[in-house]
Amino acid sequence: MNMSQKAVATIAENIEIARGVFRLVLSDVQGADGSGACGARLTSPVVLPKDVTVADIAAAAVPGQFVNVYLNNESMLLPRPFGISDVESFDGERRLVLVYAIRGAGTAELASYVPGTEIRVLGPNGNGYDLEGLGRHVLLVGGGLGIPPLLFVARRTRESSGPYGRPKITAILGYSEDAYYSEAIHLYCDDVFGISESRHLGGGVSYGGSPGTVMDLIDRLVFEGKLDVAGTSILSCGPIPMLRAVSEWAVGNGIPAQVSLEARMGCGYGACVGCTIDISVGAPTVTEDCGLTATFCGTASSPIVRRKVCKDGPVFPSDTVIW
Amino acid sequence: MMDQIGVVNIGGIEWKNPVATAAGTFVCDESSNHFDPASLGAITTKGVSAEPWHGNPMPRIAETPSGMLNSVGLENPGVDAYIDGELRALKDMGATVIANVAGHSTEEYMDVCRKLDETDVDMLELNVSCPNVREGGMSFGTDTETLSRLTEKVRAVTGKPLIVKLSPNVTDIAELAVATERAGADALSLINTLLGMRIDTRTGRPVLANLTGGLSGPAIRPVAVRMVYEVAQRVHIPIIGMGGIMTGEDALEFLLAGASAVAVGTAALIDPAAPARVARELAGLAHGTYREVHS
Repeated sequence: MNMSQKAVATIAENIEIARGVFRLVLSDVQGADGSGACGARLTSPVVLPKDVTVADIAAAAVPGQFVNVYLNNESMLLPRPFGISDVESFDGERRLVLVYAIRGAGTAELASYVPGTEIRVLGPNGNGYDLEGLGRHVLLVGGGLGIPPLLFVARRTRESSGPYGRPKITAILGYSEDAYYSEAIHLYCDDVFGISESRHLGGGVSYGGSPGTVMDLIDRLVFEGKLDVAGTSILSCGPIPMLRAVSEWAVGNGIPAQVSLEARMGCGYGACVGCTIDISVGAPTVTEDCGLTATFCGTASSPIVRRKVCKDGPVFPSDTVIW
Repeated sequence: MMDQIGVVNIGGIEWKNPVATAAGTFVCDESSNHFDPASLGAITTKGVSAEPWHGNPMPRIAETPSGMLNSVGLENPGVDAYIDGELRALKDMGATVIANVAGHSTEEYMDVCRKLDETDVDMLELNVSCPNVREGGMSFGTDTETLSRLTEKVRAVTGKPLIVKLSPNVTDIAELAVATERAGADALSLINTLLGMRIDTRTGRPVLANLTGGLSGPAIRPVAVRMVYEVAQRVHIPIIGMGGIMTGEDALEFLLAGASAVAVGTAALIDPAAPARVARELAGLAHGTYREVHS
């Protein structure tokens, strides 16, 4: 497990990539936006003396982990936990890429920070996806803000070589409105299919056509014979209802899935016990009775324990999650 | 000079410096990555009960202006797991440990204290002020008679120094403090969280699944300082002051109000190293204002 550490980051980029959705690039370099200008230096009395650099956090990060971002505003103290969307190299320097949406006053304030602004971060936090031992076909299923972190997943999966050699990677992406990050993810996938709940999508990747959800798209693709189920491993990130549906579909088809859970967090590093969930620690197996795992059937064969989403997750094997 | 000011005696236990962690904000596995638990005056661990408690449903954290609400509800693995796990680990690291004790009934508080009495835990802190537990918790800490009886009963089953953590959700905290001292407490912690609530105006529903929660953070600091000041006029036992301490200067404010030591809580959820930083900052400040006032 990686250890969370503190750093002071300089915002290199903070731009709107879709309505209300921002791409935040964090660097160690002042004036990283190229202007040479320094933005707001960190003056808060609640300064975290830094342990490490952004580059250190980026180097330690694995797909599925997240970073706590703290605002330069003492009336909004709690961290904003954002999944790591990518680790990019720029002039030989490793940077962290995070994607967030304006959801309230905190993220609205973050969106107002100009390049050059210093902010405090803590990471990498939690446990990421287990990319060892994936099947010969990897299915990435993302919804909303769960999509950008799949870029990091796709890239590392493409670079990895499992027991079946280089896996085939398919991404299924569900949006509420317009698409974003689908082309970037496509660079590392064999197929990318997108769908939006509110509009027809067009563009450079294979879209699902009429509006609907990720599960509508999966059903359509299976019906059309465009989606392999045998030998598939699912890696999923998105809202809880989507993850639950994906998990049930995976269990029904007897394929393993790892899901990255969303939760309202306090500290984001395991101290406040704000985000615990029930996890089954037995080895659930598909039963003949109902076609579901012991977890779903509620049998007593798998003991249930409390786990922290921020520290023990956010990625869990989907059949261990008590939904 | 710094050491002379730094060392404090709380209920017969010597603390290296007057800074502790506040209950529910320190988890050994995580927090000890960010500072050495033995470097603080004391480590107060998360509320522990006789049996494991699952806590309240999520969401149980909400941000508020300069603070936060929590309705965790004292989720914990139970006293047996605590003794074999976190307590063992902290004592092995050389920390001075305060076990925060929770219960639904007098009998449960006594059971936990009996078990802890047989360990090498340094002090016990009775949590009679958690607003997030329906039975027990705060109901023990808001009535003078009930609190006195509980303190006496627990006092009878343990020789460990006993701290009682008081609730600010009362009309006259000093009256409760006096009664607690008379019932045998060796020290007082104040304040626990203030009962609060947030409603999401978009949904019209409370933000916390438990509807209400405990408010902590800098938002409550003036209330806490005032209460420490009021209680300090009335009791002779040491006071551990807490409520929104983010810096050494904040800690100094509590010492000036009459506290003998302080605890850092919410700040540690925002900066994992905050308790150690506050101790360092306070030591730096202690050369000036604090020494003048107390000399």
